[in-house]
Amino acid sequence: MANAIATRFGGDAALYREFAADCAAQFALDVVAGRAACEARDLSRLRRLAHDLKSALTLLGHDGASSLAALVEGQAAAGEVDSARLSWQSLDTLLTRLGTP
Amino acid sequence: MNRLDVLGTADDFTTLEVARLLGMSVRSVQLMVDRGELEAWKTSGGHRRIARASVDRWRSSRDLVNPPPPVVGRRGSRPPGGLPLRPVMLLIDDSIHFQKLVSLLVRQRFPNVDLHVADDGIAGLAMYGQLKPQVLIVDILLPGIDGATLITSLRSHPQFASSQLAVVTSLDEVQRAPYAFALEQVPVIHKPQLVAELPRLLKKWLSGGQKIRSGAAVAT
Repeated sequence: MANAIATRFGGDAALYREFAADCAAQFALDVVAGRAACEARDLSRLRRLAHDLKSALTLLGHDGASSLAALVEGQAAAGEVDSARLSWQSLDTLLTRLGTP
Repeated sequence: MNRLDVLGTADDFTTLEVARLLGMSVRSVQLMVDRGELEAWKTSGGHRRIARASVDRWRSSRDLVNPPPPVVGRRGSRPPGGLPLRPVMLLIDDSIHFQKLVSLLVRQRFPNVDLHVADDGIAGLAMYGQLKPQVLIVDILLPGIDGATLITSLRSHPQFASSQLAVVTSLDEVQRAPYAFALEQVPVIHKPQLVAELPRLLKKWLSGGQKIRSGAAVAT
């Protein structure tokens, strides 16, 4: 995370921590929203959610999770329902871990 | 006086009246009618009329009868009919993550700014008309109408010349290409760079940017 604080937050560790805490709370809600979108096979909703998560995760320095979000976004945009749902499950696991205090 | 009162008690409005009422362009109101958000009918001469009740319902659902207080700053910083005492900033972005990040940044680095947030393009247009913000930050991908369409609509708004506009987006340069028509001469901040770039831009605009009105200017 030190790299993200230096490169994305200009060294402002306090701001990073505050944002990370806000994100952790929101990730729990994002997981619920993502599961609902998968259940409903709503690719538009899943795409929008993954698109949003991609940047938030990049900012926080979670590059692996961000790449996964980008993958979900791309698969949802391409209409690949099964692939997008499968990729979401992996992202779901990471988000759940990040959202756990 | 409420603007609805000014328009009297007629059951229907013209499209222009609704546009003035909501602080939107006529085109935006037409789009709302097309999407079924407002109820409308046509006169024998082909002129559109919009049901007052549907306008009232829409305003109530968006809490525009009594706009919410800023998420950062304080209520009542604009004297009735006058210019704001504190800079007003409107963020139009449906991402909760980035709403929170911008709120943190503004609270920490620009405590003198009143920040308001809209979750979608239509609500953003309406809030823009009501708040007349000096600083407007818009995401490109929004529910309702996208940010590029929103910016195009805002450009026809008389208030637009007095506002500073920046776009924030998660889209990379290639993904932004379809929206280029609206982004000409607009600063675009890629969201992963937001913490570095947004405060720099706000500092420039709020420290004497030509479109920003200072409290001193209001007093005179």
